[in-house]
Amino acid sequence: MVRGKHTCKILKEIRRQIAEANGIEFATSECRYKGDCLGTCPKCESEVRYLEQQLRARTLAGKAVALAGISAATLAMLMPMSADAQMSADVNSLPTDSITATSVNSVKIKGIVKEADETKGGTMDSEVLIGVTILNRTNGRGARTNIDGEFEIDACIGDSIEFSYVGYFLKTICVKNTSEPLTILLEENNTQLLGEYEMVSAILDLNVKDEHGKLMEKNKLRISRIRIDENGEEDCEALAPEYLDEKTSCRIYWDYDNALEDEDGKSLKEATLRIEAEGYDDPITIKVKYPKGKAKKTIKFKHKKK
Amino acid sequence: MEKQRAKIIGIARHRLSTDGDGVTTLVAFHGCPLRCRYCLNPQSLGNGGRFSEYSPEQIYAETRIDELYFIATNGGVTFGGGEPCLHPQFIREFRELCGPAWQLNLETSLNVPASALEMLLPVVNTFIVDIKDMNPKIYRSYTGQNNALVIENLRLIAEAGRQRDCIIRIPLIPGHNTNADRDSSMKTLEALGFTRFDLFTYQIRKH
Repeated sequence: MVRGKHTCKILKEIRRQIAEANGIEFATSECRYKGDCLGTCPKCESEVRYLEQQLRARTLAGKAVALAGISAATLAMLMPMSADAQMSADVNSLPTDSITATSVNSVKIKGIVKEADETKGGTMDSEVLIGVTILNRTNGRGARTNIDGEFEIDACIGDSIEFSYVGYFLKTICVKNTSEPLTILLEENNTQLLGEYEMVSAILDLNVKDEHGKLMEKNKLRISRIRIDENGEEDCEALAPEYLDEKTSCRIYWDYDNALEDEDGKSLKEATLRIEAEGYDDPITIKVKYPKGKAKKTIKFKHKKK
Repeated sequence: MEKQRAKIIGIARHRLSTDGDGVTTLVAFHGCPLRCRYCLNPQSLGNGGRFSEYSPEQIYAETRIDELYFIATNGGVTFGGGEPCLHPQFIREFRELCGPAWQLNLETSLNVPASALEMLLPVVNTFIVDIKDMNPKIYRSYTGQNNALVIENLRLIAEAGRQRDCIIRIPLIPGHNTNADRDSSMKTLEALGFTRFDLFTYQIRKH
């Protein structure tokens, strides 16, 4: 699902540009999700909702909002233009006009930007960084890395070039050679990432404990929503909670869980959840309200006395 | 008025510069007047039941979550299928809902009554037209249909001065046309004032 990851990176870059153009503070981290990526996920979607909220707040405050077309050129630049024709059964690819800026009387230097990854002991395996902002401080020219992490920028020997990317330390280099391609390694700035926001508004964290007060893991739980259908019969639909960390059993993204939608696809205001736990015969039923922001619920399982 | 509902075979989000500029969501209708030999989406044909019914409001509700991307990249919704031009009222209602900022594109064969195209011209930004081949014999051999309506509709677009809003796809259809046929199609289209062409070769699927 390499394509999904590429889509994800490009969408993230678009979000970053929207935030930058509107002075919205925006920190995001490299996705650590290892499964198949469809190009978006609850975390990505929550960043979009956060931006929308911030933009709405700016509009309400009478501030100008810059949005229309701000990422159009970036997208044209980042997308691979040629290889896509009839890529899959339902994809008809169209060539998009790519924007190539050429300048006279200057040398183009080429290179690639990657993530510095000490654990891999070299540069070969580290991940390329897409959409890195490159600025030649000497002549004022700018560029961005493409989907393969590659860039081209006008420069002369002695120019100072700056590479910046959200979540990474800024790096400035001095051009010593214009004929050899450059490999730039950016180091991840973990301190910046610690201040990462949680941008989802409707989150329900469940902490399910056994009778000894020990936290039960997500894979030992089955959570479903109970509803009464039109015939007055009980029906249930499984939720798809996600693993968060070892301190939380699971996290429910209320707005993105299909089981928490009404018939029109709108998020429910409240729901009755049934929690079944491995090793316990009786499920626990709880009534929960739509979490405005982040909510937490602790549930304790006990064995019935015989 | 009767509420518009249409059979939809799929909604694909986050298509990047594949159908029209920017980030787009593809909404694919069920149903097509043609029976092309190498049809890319055969699930749009027949009554196999692989579709869901949607109203314009429901499609709007599903697609608006990407509005931020649409606006920031000059993207929007591309209607394909199947044949989207068979649903002009649906698309007009969708435009009313989404407002003028979204780009609406159609991927169409234009083999539909001119009245449908007339309804769509004011609300659609870009028409991605797969003309197959301008030669009626080749067209019939490949699609099983006559292309008189296609030619009439291309004229209609030209009369409205909307040629720049069209991307005309001229495929090389293995076993049906040649490069010389494509050149001849392109000349005919250029005479009508069309300038944006996409030449490609059909992928052959076995089904």
